Amino acid sequence: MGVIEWFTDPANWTGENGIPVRTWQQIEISLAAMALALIVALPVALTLGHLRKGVFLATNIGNVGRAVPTLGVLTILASIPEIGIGNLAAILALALFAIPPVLTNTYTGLAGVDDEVRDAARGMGMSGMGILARVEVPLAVPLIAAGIRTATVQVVATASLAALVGSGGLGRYVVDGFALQDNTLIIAGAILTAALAVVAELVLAGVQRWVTPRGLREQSRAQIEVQEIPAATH
Amino acid sequence: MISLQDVTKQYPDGTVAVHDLTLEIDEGVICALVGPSGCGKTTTMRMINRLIEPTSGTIQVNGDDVTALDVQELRRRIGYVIQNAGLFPHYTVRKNVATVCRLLGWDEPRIADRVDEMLGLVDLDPDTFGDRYPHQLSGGQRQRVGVARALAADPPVLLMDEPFGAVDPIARERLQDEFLALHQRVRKTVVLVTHDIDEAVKLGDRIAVMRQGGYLEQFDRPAAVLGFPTSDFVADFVGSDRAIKRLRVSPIPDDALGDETIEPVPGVIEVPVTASLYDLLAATLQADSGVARVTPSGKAVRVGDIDRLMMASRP
Ligand SMILES: Nc1ncnc2c1ncn2[C@@H]1O[C@H](COP(=O)(O)OP(=O)(O)OP(=O)(O)O)[C@@H](O)[C@H]1O
Ligand SMILES: [Mg+2]
Repeated sequence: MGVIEWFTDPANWTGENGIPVRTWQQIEISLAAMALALIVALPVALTLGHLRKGVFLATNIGNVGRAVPTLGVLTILASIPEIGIGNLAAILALALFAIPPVLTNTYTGLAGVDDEVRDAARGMGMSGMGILARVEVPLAVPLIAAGIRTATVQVVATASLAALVGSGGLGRYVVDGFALQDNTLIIAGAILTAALAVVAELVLAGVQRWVTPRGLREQSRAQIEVQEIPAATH
Repeated sequence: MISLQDVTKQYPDGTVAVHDLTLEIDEGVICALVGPSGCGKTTTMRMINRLIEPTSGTIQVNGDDVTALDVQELRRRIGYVIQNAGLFPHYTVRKNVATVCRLLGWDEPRIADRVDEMLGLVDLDPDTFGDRYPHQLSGGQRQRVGVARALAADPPVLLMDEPFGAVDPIARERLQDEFLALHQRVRKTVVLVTHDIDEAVKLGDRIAVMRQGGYLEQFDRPAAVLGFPTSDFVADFVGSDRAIKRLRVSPIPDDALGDETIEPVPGVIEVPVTASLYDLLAATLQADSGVARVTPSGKAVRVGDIDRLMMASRP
């Protein structure tokens, strides 16, 4: 069966192994992993960034994160009895994978807030939390959102690996395709994964634009593009 | 009133930025802290609103020891202006100006009225500029917004760290003139940090000259600092043209003018008695006849009289 026939076959759009269910599983795993990553990374990065402490940690964790092979982590996690195979191992591995970009970008965003602006805020009698919430985070939003976007797209794309440790998601098609030596299935799985990642990218790019404070939109477009690169390659 | 008593600041690395400084700034007075780079001006100023805590000594604002007050309450009662204004880039001009009023919990209609009033005060049309973002303003306009923001909650005290340092000389002159006019209306107690002696002379009612290591060299009226520097350091710092500078801040000593009067004829330039000796000298130099006429008395003044008049206007 060719790839086009596979996609147009109504049987592939229903049931446990249908495209909607598998896609939704992929989204669920990704959302869970991202939620976990944000719960861990944001408080740490916001605290460090506000206090301007731990530059070394915050910027180098990105390197460590990129150096660790996700597949290896996934296998190790799945082999721990308390975690076992299935969604939990996948979610943990993907969360670990998502933490570095979120942490590094959030820290960079906060640390990049103009000293004079912070000083003025303090000098006018804003509290530490007030400065964080009303000045630092809004000004860092473009970078924070970029970090979350990068992480999410990576997670969505990588979530297909989860099928290797027995969870659901679009990776099932690929893994099953290998097992059945069915190239159509492998390609279909790959196409669906890529498509979902592209959709995630487009949606989040919109969200990023939407959450960026108006005063920053035109002004710092170029500046943000430039900053994103060091944050990602440090 | 602001008073500093034996205030010393030593940074953790051992640098003594301010050394046993005692300074009294009366209510409604503009005090210019002036001195070379690194002499401790900014540190002195920032101790007043506790952005820096002194190592020893006491600081009072209107009779209250600043350490006895809640630090945020204190800062909300002290206007704060810095070199590049430090405006919030994600806030409109209106929202920037409203910052302290919001922190103080004013209601929205009151804030809106106040913001427009403040923008008017610094000569920015609220309808044109109110909804702009800082990056849509010129440097001078940003600085005006910074001043409006600092004054919005009507604080009795205003701290300014090189507020006109980042704008070009022509815009600076204008901002300085406007600030003086504004001060006539609002009469705050102002601490103004500058490394520019001309700015200090122009804006300050009192000048505190500081020297490296945080020493206060001289604290007096501008004419006194220029006319009678108490040390070689001050004499050197105020410059070899200090006599000329002093003319600018010396009023015409009415009772020391001679008895000779002249008629207001063409070629004689008239100078009001409220002008400075500098204006008078300029008029005598410019007049074809070498004579200027002081109004309303009609007294005649010649170039050669200026030296005597300057002696007579000793502070
Ligand atoms: N956080 C700090 N830690 C250590 N030393 C400091 C710190 N801040 C300032 N200093 C030092 O204290 C001295 C006074 O600094 P300050 O900023 O008050 O000078 P200033 O008169 O405002 O100078 P400028 O005209 O250059 O702004 C300088 O020698 C400076 O290097
Ligand atoms: Mg300074």
